[in-house]
Amino acid sequence: MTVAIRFAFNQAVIDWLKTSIPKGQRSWNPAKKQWILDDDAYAQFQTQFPGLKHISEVMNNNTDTQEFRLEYIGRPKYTFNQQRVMSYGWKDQKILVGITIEAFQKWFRVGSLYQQLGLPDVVDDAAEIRRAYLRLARQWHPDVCKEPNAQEEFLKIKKTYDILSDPPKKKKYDLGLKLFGKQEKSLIQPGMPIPMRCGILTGKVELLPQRTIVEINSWKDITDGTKVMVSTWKGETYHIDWIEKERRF
Amino acid sequence: MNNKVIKTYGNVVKGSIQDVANQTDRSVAETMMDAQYVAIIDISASMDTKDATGEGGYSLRRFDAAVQALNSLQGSMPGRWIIIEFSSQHEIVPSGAIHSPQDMTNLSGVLDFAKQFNGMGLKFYLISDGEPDSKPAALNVARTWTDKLDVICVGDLVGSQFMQELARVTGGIQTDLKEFSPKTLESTLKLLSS
Repeated sequence: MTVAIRFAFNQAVIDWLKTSIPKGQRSWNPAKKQWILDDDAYAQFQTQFPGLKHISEVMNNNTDTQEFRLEYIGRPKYTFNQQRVMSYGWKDQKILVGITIEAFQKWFRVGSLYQQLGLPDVVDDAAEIRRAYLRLARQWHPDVCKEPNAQEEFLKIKKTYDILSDPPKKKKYDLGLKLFGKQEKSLIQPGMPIPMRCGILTGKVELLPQRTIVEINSWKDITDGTKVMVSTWKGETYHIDWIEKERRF
Repeated sequence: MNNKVIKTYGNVVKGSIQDVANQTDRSVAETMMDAQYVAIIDISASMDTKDATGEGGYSLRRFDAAVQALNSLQGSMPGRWIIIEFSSQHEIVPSGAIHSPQDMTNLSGVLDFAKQFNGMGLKFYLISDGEPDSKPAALNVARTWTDKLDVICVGDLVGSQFMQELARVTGGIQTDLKEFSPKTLESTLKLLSS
């Protein structure tokens, strides 16, 4: 449950909210001049300021579907209060939205090597497989990505591509997939990086209390028509790069 | 006749594709890419005949001798063997746990099924004791194979002549193993696969 509260300007209350309520449990809506608190924070607020006049409104968490153009998406980590695991989506070097690990786990539930490259089920177009590989390879190449496991991720992607780009191996794998079916697993665990670090995400958004994507409905590349955005972690902040769709790494 | 493929995930033989997949956290499809050999084993009712020789000289069913040989091969070459069993129906058995003997010998059906593994650099071995339901049908399918099929005829060798013809049309070789033991079958398969 999330509660939106309004009260007459009171610096002491504002200071208390900022110092006593962790960021993950409160946010400020400047448009409506409301503080948005989760139920635990609201209970603390009522205990701390029992006589304070305020208007409260229980918010419907299930808001609408929204679209976010995210330039960088961090790896899912425990929030500082250890209550949930989530990532943050960035734009213009600022956090724009939270994304729960559950949303990623559902979206990156893969059952085949094709899906590990971000492709749909079996793909026969070698150029399409190569494009998918290049996008991920560029993102995770240890020369440009400073994530601690960049090398490991890069080799994993390369190994997958080596199979799918080798016709006899691909034929054998495709037959295995046909005979035994997919064995689904999620690529995402707390602390593990997500395969794609940028994109246009559409999803169901809730206030938890900050805007958080709880279900991803679509994930599209950010493109200017001929080039695709690739985002890497440079050590202190993220770095945007544009690669041509057909570019060889 | 129903030739549907049934997957078996019961007991898992050590070194089978399923066993390796379980140990490496890879899917069966991924693990199968490392396979080098395909063993097609006859599990028709005649494989129940007890004329094979076990360790110490006691008699053994043809089926048990063949299963012991394949289990041993899978254990010594983990993830390298794809096992396909057949009687009236056929199944690919990633777990290596082969079903008990039953029914007829639909050889053409299993050859047609196994043909999809042709052209992948695999070596094929057929282990059978007898004559199929339809020799012409089996030979017709075998003629469409692009890979060689080596045939090991076990038991009383009544089907030896046909098995020789079957191997010949694919360019493979045929071996007779009368009163065979698990060890003789295993060493024959090792010799053929080397």
